[in-house]
Amino acid sequence: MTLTAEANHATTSDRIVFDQIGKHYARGGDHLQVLDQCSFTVEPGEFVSVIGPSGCGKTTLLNMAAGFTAPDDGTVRVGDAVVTRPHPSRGVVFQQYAIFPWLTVAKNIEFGLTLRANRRPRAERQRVVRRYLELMGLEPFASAYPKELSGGMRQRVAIARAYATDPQVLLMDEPFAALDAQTRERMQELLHETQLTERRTVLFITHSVEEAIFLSHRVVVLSARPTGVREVVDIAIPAPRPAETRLSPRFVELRRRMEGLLRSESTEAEGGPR
Amino acid sequence: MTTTTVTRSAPRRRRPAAGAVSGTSRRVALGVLGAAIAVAIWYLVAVSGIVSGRGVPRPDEVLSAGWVLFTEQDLLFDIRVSMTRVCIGVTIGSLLALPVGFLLAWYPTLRAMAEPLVNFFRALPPIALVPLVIVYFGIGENARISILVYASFFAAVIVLFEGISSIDPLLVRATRVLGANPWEVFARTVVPASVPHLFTAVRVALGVSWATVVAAELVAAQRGLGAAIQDAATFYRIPDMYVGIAMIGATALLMDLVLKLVQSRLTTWQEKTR
Repeated sequence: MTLTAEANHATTSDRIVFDQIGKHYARGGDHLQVLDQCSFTVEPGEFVSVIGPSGCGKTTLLNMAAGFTAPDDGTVRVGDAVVTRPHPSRGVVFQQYAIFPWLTVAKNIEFGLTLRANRRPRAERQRVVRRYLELMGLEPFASAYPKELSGGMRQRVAIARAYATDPQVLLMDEPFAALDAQTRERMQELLHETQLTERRTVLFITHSVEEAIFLSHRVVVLSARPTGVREVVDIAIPAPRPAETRLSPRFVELRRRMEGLLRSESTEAEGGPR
Repeated sequence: MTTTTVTRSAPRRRRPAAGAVSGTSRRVALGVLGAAIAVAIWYLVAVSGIVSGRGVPRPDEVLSAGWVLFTEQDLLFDIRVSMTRVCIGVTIGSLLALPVGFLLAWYPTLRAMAEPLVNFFRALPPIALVPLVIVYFGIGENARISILVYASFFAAVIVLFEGISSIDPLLVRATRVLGANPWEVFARTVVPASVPHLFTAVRVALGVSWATVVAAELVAAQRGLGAAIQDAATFYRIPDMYVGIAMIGATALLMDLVLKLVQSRLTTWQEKTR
């Protein structure tokens, strides 16, 4: 794939900053602190994964960046603006696909561009749709309805739909968690390739260490509750990363180290080593 | 895996495969067989004379009575009269139920206020209101139609608001993230997602109204299927009563079938649950 002008799509206005984030719930008189002083930054054009023990509030962080949930302490900023509500400049890919079953694949991808907030002329819409159908390998399915597609194909539609409105940042909430292992690896490779030409700032939530390493520039490892940042790991593996990258010594070493980090966090969460 | 090329297989369209066709014809054949057994039992009951008094007419007697009714006494006209009443009632009732269903589904407060009332009125058999309706509207066509509107409205409204409030909130969220304003969320996501529920509502309303119209015609009407049955009863034309009753079922079946066909045409995108 050749680098196009889009390679430098990201600008300084799309840095994602999590600043001293806190979130707590009151549950039956108990005060449950989920997130505490959680701070990290996703630089423009960077792909950052967030990984952590289950229940540590990964998805809550993404929902805050999307504008679905407000933090109790601290702020989430994208560029200079504090996030308060959903905005088309921040695209979201959900774990459960969330594509419209009554629209064909092509119409799903086009959907965002027909809304008043980011309406484009018909010719441009068709150009964008064709482009993402091709990028995602969805051309044969253009006029198919979602019910005719496999899980992997549905998620491709959702990803294409998110890219199509040309958001500054993309927020992905465990998008491949519902897929089988093989489809999952293929989707990781597809997303990696897409990022090579369509570079956006991406915040990627996952519970798979391997997925996080393969896709990211940096991985934020969260601690157990109350959740803060345990460590930020630099994945210094140059792009493009072919499928075999997963077998390289560097990859394996990173994987071992991060799995160790996560294991120590989850044993702490369960009350120390046994 | 050494390649990252996207595999492109043909869409998995639902083709009427050989197995599916034989499945359908098998279902039809079994349905015919069931009806044939029912007719055979009916015949045996009729000739055995178990039923005292005037006895039960044989199937062939009913068939010839039906022939006479259709060719000489214009039973088709009575069927048309009843069907027209039901269609008018269901159309008005459903059209009224549509906005109310949306409002109740959208505003939980409103729903909490209205739900007991709706259940109360739905529980009243519409036919029990006939005397009251006669007091206010007399015994004309308006009286009959107003009962049908009542029956359709309450049957449809409950199906509608339950269906509409079960729409996946994730789809609404996905629509907002793409930049939709509240009106677009309603028009582009809530409305299309409601279409299957609208069809269910109309089918339920049709069933309730059909039962009501025949009952109402038994009590007070010059023409219509119920009136024809009542007419036959007055003159002890027992086979004619059986013809009328059989037509009630046949017409209901036909109307439901037509509606189902229209529905499957308009909602091809829907996943079949069976």
